Amino acid sequence: MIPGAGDLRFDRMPPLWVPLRAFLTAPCLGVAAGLSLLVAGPEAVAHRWAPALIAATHLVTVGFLTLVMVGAVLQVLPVVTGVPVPGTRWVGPVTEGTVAAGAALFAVGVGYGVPGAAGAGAVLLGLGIGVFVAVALAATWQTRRNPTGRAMGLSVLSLVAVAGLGVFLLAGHAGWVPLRRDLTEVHLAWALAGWVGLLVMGVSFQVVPLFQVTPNYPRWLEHTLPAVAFTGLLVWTAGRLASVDGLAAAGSLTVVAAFLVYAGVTLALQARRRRKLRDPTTDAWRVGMVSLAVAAVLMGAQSVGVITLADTRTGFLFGVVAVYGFAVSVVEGMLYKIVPFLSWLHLQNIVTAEGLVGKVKIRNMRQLLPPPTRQFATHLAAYGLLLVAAVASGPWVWPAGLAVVADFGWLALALVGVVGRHREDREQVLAET
Amino acid sequence: MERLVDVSELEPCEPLERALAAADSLRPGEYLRLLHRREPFPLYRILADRGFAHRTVPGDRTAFEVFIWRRTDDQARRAVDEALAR
Repeated sequence: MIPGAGDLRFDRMPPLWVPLRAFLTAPCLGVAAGLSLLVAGPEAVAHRWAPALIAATHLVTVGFLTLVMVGAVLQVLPVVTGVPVPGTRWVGPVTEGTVAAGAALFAVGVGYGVPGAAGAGAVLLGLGIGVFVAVALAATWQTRRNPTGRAMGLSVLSLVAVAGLGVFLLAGHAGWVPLRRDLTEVHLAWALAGWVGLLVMGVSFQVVPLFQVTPNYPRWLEHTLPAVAFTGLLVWTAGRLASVDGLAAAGSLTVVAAFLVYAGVTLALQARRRRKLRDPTTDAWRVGMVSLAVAAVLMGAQSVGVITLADTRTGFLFGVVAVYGFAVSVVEGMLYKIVPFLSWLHLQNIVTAEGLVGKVKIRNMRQLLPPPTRQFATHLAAYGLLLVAAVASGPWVWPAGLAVVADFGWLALALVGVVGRHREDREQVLAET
Repeated sequence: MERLVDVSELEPCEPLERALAAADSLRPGEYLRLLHRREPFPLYRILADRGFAHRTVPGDRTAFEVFIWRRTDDQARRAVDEALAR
């Protein structure tokens, strides 16, 4: 058997509601991010420390992305590795509830200056992420020989750095410790390249060949690339903290190279798809991989001193490409496949368990969620408008914010639709028993 | 008698649906040879619950080949043994 390629353990699936609740809540926080831009208008992109921008960014990264990632880890880890995440039934609700509430409170506190809200949000986020990290690390340690399990473990370790730095920065803003704005770059790097980047990498080793009908990733890549990227991040951080520019550049370029190789190989695998039918979710991954490559090139250009991401417009551009173009695109693409797939698989299991095979008909994946062509077009429009707003600023923020609301709102409605159809079929099946 | 079904280029959930439909239509003495690019774990439990036996081996044309027959069909089982011995 090819390790990490064909050994999915579907008998270890957690209850359906564990990942679904995270996947359904997440787009609501994305909608809130769009609303935050709409309400603030051009103020949101006046400078990189604009409160509404920090609020919107965290609603997408902590709210949307982290919630989906938590749901994905709780779902994928047991299926891929056969090792159940301890206490999934209570870890799921605790983590999802506290992360969602924490992200919303943090955004309200930072964006609107509501006293105590940012601190309360940070406490909730710390609690939720702390519980999640503890159980996820315990599970990933047992699965360290599996490439996906190992990438997820490194990603969760990165989350520890992200959360720790985030709390330290917040304490600095509150005046409890000296504010080290320079650590913001370190916080961002571990969040984007470490937590999100490594997790997407690990999950993609499974979902790209499975859902997009591509060849498997090369084994050397699965086994080495996540560790190379993680090591690069460590070296870059050491160089930054010790003010050794050469070390920082070497670490940064290592991370850049790792993600460029990953994006290139993924695009090459997609080009060799056995099924040539046009598929919006595969297109979403393509957009994500091209954006990842662009973000990596921008990061590389900064490493060799060609550009500086501290420049407001360049920094905005990098943020939109890395967060919306890469992370949101691939996560939306993944959700459009994984939610109907899980719903279908659970229905299939119910039909089998009840001895109703051949007696009742359940919807297939495409009937649970038709190809999301229009939703993907909305996502592209939102991405494009955000790019324009990042470069041109001013009133472009309003249409961009509106498009972000539409993008996440449509995603939420599509996923709710899947759950509704799942429920109809489930009731129909159970009525036959 | 062998029935060959290649699901290696299909997206989830079509491989499982086609495999089950083909298995259901097996006549006495027939077995199903399923060509698959991944090992279809969700299929195994469903097959067992529906009275089928299976054996999975590395394939020549695709990564995995799954041989499926009715558990009560000795003639089909012998045909699978012969096919695997070749």
